[in-house]
Amino acid sequence: MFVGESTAMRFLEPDRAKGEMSSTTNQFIAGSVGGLLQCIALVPSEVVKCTMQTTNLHGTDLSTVQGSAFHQTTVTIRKIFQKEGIRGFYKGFGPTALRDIPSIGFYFFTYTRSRDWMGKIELGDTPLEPGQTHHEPSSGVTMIAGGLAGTISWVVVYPIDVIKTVTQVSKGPVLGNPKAYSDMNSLEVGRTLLRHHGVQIFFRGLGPTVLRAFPVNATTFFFYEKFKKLLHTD
Amino acid sequence: MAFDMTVVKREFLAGGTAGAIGIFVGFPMDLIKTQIQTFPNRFPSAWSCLKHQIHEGGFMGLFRGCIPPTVSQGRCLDPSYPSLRQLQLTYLTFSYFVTRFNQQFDVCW
Repeated sequence: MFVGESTAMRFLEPDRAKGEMSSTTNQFIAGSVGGLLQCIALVPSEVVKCTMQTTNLHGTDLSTVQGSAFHQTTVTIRKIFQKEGIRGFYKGFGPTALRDIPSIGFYFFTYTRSRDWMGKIELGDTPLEPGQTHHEPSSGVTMIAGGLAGTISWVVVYPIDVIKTVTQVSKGPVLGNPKAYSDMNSLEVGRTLLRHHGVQIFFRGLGPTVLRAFPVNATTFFFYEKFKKLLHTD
Repeated sequence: MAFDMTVVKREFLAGGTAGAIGIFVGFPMDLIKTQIQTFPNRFPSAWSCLKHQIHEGGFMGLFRGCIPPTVSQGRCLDPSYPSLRQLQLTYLTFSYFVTRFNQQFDVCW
């Protein structure tokens, strides 16, 4: 994702000087290209992960697999394949793409914008050192900007994420509907969920998600900038 | 347009390591999210869901399903996780060689 974003950025603005602000649209496009690229391999891993996360540990169906985490994973993969074939791994591709493309656009856009903005407030009047073309943002700024980016990108796409999870893991026909969620398109899934559970279904679980997104993304961006600098110097 | 491979490699390493570090931190939260989304009527709150999960599967049970996202390059259902970097790198490497080939032999597609 990081690679996709920076590469797309170099395509869109090859002449941009380091430290200069890039345009909003280009930042958004660059982020979205990163999102599109990652969907292809992401969806199967999402299906397996969500299946494992929602199976009852003592229940029936795909669960009750004893042994190491690796063994559990291979058994789950085999069962999905036996039951649904290769198509089983691409359930929910639509909502995943719909979720990730804008979300990653928002993610990088929020990150770069808030980082530059806070960096300016923080270091606005400090003179540049010789050889420096722009101010490096401090670790605190990087972390807050990363946390904000994670939180905002989640809030924006959360309803689509609910649709994605439901499409990928639910089995059997839905109450009052002969079709299973996995056989419906995203719009039908959304409508059925709305009818059965009301609008709050689309925001269930948002609390823990946001609670998690801030620290995790702060850490991720902190290390991302650190490693980039570290690798840059040698 | 040629790709600067050193830059790509640097991004690749930085993004990959950063994502890997963050991956296990939030995984239990991700489990709760998936559970709450899938079974909206089963748990009154996120907290009760967490308690139920620990009671049922122990602390390690909170991490079930963490291998697939790790394999697909460190992503736990979070749009913010770097993911699929391997595929991207393959794609970039491929584009790089195509560009070099074009330059070398002056091919016009």
